[in-house]
Amino acid sequence: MMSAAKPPSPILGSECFVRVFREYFDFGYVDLGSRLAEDLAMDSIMMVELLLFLEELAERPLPDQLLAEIKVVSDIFHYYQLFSSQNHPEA
Amino acid sequence: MNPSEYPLVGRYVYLRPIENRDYEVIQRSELAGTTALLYRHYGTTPSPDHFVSSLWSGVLAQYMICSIHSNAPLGMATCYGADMKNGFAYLAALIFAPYRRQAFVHEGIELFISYLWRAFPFRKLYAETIEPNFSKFSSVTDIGWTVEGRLSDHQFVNGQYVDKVILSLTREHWSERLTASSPRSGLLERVRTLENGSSILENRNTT
Repeated sequence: MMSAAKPPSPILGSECFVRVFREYFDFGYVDLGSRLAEDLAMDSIMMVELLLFLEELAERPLPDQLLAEIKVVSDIFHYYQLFSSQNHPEA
Repeated sequence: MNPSEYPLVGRYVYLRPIENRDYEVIQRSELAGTTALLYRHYGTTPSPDHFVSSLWSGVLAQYMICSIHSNAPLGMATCYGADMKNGFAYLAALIFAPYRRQAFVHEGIELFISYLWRAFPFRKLYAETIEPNFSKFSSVTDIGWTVEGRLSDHQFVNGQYVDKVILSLTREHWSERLTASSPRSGLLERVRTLENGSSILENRNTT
């Protein structure tokens, strides 16, 4: 028996994503170009929270080295779009 | 200290026994800011000696929750008031202030609960809290915890009488929770909420 598939949720736009990111971490000003370490002073604990976010999006464990590649907010947004579209291709 | 020395290791955090050097961190966290009014001592300031003895009063097991990446202590988890005859005990957890918004820290509490089920023949775990604190983590009812009781206007805290809330978690509910897949990232939960909100708006616009 086939069950009705839940329609995929739309992916957030960059402006909305940045706003959620800013509010979640209690940052002041954030834009896509904000550097995580230099501008936002994100520490290792916050970076682990990001890794958890990305792993749950990707629905698989990710290598720790991935965090080293993430330098600015737009990198996070890129992976958010990538993993969301991989797991929900119709979104 | 190498985290792999401890059997209680998760993906992001590990548990280790409390050491003398931790007392200062714990005392600072418990007696600072609003935590001083809302947590264990509820506004009193115990002497350093009494603080340490109170930390171990009635305790069966107690661990620090530490970051695997930095070894920084993020919080602590405690099992106390164990009643072996009737198969229950109480659980308490304190996440240190800077890390309370970081959902992954709660992996430490999950590790601790799993440890308790393995180490002791408990049927139920209880957790007691007061209303101002409960409202911050009431979502625990989504992961198996049940509100068993509420003592109305029970305790004077921060200028007013507030309810005391008694929660319980059974071994069976915990097993079910482990097989459930719910996001643990607080950031992802917020993103999902907004995505779903967008979806509802889109549906409204198209009907």
